[in-house]
Amino acid sequence: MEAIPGWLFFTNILRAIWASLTFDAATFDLVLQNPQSINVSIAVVLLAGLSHLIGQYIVLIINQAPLAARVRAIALGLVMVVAEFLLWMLAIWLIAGVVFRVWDPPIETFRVLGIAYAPMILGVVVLIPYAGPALFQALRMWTVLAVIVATSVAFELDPRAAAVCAVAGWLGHYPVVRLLGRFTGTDDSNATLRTDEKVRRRAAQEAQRRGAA
Amino acid sequence: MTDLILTLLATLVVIVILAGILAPLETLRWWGGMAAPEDAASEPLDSSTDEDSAHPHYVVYLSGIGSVSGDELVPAEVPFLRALEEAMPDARLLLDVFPYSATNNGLTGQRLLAGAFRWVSARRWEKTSVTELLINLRNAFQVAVSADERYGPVFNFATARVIRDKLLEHGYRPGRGRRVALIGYSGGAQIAIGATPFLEELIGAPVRVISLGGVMTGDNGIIDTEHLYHIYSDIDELEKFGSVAFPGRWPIYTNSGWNTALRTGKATLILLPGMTHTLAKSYMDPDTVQPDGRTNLETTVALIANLIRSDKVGEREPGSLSRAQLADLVRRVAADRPETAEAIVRLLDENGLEIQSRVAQAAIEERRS
Repeated sequence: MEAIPGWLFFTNILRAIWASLTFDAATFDLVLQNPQSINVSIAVVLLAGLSHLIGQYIVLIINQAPLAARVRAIALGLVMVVAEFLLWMLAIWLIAGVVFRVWDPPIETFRVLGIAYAPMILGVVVLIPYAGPALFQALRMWTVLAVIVATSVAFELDPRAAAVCAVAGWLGHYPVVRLLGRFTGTDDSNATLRTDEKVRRRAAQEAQRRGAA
Repeated sequence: MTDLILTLLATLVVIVILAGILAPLETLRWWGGMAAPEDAASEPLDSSTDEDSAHPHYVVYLSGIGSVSGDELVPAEVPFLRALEEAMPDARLLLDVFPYSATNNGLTGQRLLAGAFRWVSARRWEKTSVTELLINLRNAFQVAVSADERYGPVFNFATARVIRDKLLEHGYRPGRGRRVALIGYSGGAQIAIGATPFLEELIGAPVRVISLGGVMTGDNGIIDTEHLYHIYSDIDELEKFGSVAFPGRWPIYTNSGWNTALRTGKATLILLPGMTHTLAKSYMDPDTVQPDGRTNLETTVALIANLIRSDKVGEREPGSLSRAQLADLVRRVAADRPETAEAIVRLLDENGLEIQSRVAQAAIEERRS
């Protein structure tokens, strides 16, 4: 994957998505050999974050959150998505080094794992009614599998060792992400419940005004 | 050739995904408008207006996903609806609700793609036409919007308002407890189940739902209905799809709305053997004859007319609490005296009022959070 400016940058992102979805180790290897591909990795992580945020933003609209709260949630959400990726990458890098004695430059790990994050660019499917959240979880699982392949390429580990790094790394970083989410208010599991309550209250008010209740 | 087929398939998948992503937009736009100061529909009713006393039953029909607008009936459903009208001369049957729009705006009404839908609609009954699939797909996504935890409350509130407004147009007067029945055919059953809790609140009366081959979720609204009658058949594959596609319908989720309603007698399953969902041998087929000599159409119509007239399920007693009122009361009690709120839950439990107990428990938890 040559780092060529212009429209090829977009093509490279599409290639990254395709390589990730098809677990194409050859493309991951190409990324590893090409230091300039870091731009694509950064773009993939940011686009994945943006895609995730669109899903969150819809819930904010439904809850009729004030503009300031929406801007704050979006900014924090983007930071959280990038932090989530970096924490996972860090966990994999540490496990590969401590357990399997393979210490690679972190920037190389970032380049390859960033590309593996590409399925999450399609995270906007979370907006599809009813099936969206399940599709989103399927994409997450797909990303874990792509990260296993990428880890195997980046650290030259056999697939089982790469799976240990990726899955243990995911399990290790997850509680930290949830904790950060709670702390920053971006992990709001009651948002949907509040929507339901808000609409019910609106219905009750309307019924009262019209003398039906 | 293989490449071409794969490209076409990929394009189709992308189009379906895009259609899905855009499906909730109409609902969200409507909800955005709701944030503005009260709209005209919120003006108090003129209580002196006379109610249509000739019709003790108000029945709203919510069509299947082949419907295009509230002004145009699906040809396959027309004989069924005419027969239903004849079988229930004492009922006011409302046929002008388009269930797959938050604003009752038909596909050929005031919308961006109205022209395209008019073109599709004009060709849908041609023998080799596949355009009907487009209408079915569009409306199926609205069924999904209704079933969705995020969009569902808003969409269901919107459709409840549409139904309320149509009831008013047809002489119904809220607050007097006159019963309403919703007949939901296929995906219309999900819309009926979703709208019921809000409709009960808006009209201050119990609502019973009759699902005819309903494809519906097992979660929202069911325990709020006065009663749910779910008519199904052993060879209705689409209805079976609903019971598989929606996890709330699976027996392992014992606390889902569907399973709770079945356990507490709030829902009744009625089997009509040997009937399909659509086309020949369907619930509405006037030609296929059952062993008792009646056609499928006559059997279905007689059953539904009986269910609507049935007094087996009584109207809510004057002064009794709706689910929303109970939740509101418990929330207020829980704010000052949490122990009293807990006592209310225990009392409800001891008296076997499982649904009310769950409502009260949810209100307490909400207050805590």
